[in-house]
Amino acid sequence: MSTWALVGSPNSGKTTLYNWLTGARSKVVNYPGATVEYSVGPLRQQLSEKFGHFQAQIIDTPGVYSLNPQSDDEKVTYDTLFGSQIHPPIDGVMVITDGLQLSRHLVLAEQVKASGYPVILVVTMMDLLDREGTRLDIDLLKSELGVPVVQFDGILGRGLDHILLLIKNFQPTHQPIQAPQWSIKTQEEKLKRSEQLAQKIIINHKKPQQSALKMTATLDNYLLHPFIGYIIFFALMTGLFASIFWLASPFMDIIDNLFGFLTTSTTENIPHLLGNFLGDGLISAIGGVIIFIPQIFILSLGIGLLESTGYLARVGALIDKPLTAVGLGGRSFVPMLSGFACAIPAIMATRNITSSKERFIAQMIIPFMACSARLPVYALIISFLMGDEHPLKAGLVMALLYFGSILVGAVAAKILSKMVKGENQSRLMMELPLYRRPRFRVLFLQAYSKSKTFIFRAGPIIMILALILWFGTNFPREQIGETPQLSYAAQFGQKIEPLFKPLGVDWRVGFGLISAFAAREVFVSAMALAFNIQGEDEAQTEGLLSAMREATFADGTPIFTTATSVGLLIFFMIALQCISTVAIVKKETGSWKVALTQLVASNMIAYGLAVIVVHSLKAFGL
Amino acid sequence: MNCIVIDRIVAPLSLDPAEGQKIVQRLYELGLHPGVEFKIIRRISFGTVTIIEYGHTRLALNEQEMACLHGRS
Repeated sequence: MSTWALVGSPNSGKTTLYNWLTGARSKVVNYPGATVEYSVGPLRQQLSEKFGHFQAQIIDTPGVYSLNPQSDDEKVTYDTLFGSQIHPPIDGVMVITDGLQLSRHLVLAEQVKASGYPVILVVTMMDLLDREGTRLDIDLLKSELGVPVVQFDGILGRGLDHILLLIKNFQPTHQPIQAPQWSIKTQEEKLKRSEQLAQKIIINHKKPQQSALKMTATLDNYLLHPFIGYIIFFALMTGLFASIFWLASPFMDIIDNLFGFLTTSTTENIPHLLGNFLGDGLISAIGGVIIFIPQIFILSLGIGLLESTGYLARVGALIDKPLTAVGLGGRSFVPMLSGFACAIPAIMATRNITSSKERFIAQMIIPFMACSARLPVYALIISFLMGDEHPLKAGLVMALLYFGSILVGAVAAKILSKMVKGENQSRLMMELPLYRRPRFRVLFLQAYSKSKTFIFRAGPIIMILALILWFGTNFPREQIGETPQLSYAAQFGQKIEPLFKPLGVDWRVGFGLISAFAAREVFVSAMALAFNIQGEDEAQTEGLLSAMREATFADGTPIFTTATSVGLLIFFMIALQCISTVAIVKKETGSWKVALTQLVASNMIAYGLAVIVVHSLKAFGL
Repeated sequence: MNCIVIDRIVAPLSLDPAEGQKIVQRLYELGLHPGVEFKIIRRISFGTVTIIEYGHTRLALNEQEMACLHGRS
């Protein structure tokens, strides 16, 4: 089987080609440093059959500016080419070059060729070249470089057949492979040669139309304006976070009604115990997760939109100074924003940060960003506090929570920057990509994929929880009778209740908090399960909200007040509950001690702060 | 917009030598070298970040990185 690696500068279109070749759906964005890990995939079956069942493996690598790595993601590419990695031996390298940046991207192609690898040069961004009114003399480029050259259109896939013909007919050369040495002198010589070559092969054949360069210059006048730029940034962020609530509201109502109908039909038509388990237990719990799909979809779509346009890299530059003040830098912004979707890829994205101290601080604070798993919890508590009458106001509160998580992260970063040894030499040096129109089909598919992952991650956990709670609340049968306090669940709850008493909540909320360690989003379903056992007739969000409003301690005092609700929000804002995040922190820092300290410390701080807030607010009669 | 032709790319003495060398290397890798003309587009982030443009490339540089580029208007 033939194995080919895709190597190129950041944002040159490697992942787009990888997706075309393998059929993978790796995320494609418009900023440097999106790919931080190598991916291996077999050739798409359809392509394999088209070329006589030709078998090949494609390796996508993080972007590099040269074969002399400076950051962890660049080391991944270096090790893929020159290390003893686990992937199969590489037959050749496709060097991906941006057609608009040929003069410097050709230097990398020369370096790869000098290392001994057979090279195919793939020129991308053909649509942008066309809009600039230029085309390339490919034959001249081929003869000057002495390697095959293919033009590839990432939108329509043009050029794919040509690439496949080349790799299918490739004859292995078995040359010795060695990483070339880098020096200023050779780099300068190569750059000058490449500039001359680029000048020779670029042909201006028509007037520029909708030039991306001109559009970028115009947009940057506003988006990078020293004053207006910040206003636009805050308006965009507030709009995104607020829309998660108010835009999703009508769709959530539809899902809520549907599951309400399913629950009632099930409990009415299936005999008592089984009907009770399926209706009030399982369906109700699954509905408790599915109802948040519109919010997850809108959040993913919004972040995808920002990522694909090229705006994010600019925000990184815009807020470099404020981030430097807390020990971070502009390069930390993109991983932090990714943390709003999920902390795991966001922590991996810190590999792009060259300063080890800054990278460590970013890894520590990313779990504070309000990830999509926190969204259902926030939505439930905001709904409880504000009701359904003012979705826009509730949306603004949601935005405040998101900005609050940034504030928590900033405070933690400042503290860590004082505690962590070493000088912080933050690096910015960031390419600002040309603005591109978002491809909505791709964005919708990405948002759909995120929503699907959300359900499939939480689904199995909810099924198990529903089974455990159903068993716990209905057994031992002979003793329960008319006294549910004797059930296994109630007995267990009474044992753990002292731990949650300082937070002002009872064992049922405590059960939800413990369940959230399996997956945060499960909190809502676990609450629905725990509160339905008290005999509430309604199901779904409305049912849970009314159960929360009516829930009292034995002495008749309400459990859910403003104080306890804000306390829960504080807890969820700070506590690290995601085991996958702990595992990725261990992987990236190489230390269990760091990962476990982060887990324990964040939970202790979250618990302590929540207790203080609950009691302070109670003192004010809230 | 201010146009500058690069004379030399050297790290300022205030920078750690190893880090300075890495920054210089990266500037070369990004296509900058003596003789290249670039435009200063604007200064953002409270004046600490400079946006420069050369060819089809726009680059954001912090104060230390910008201090490595020596040239004439």
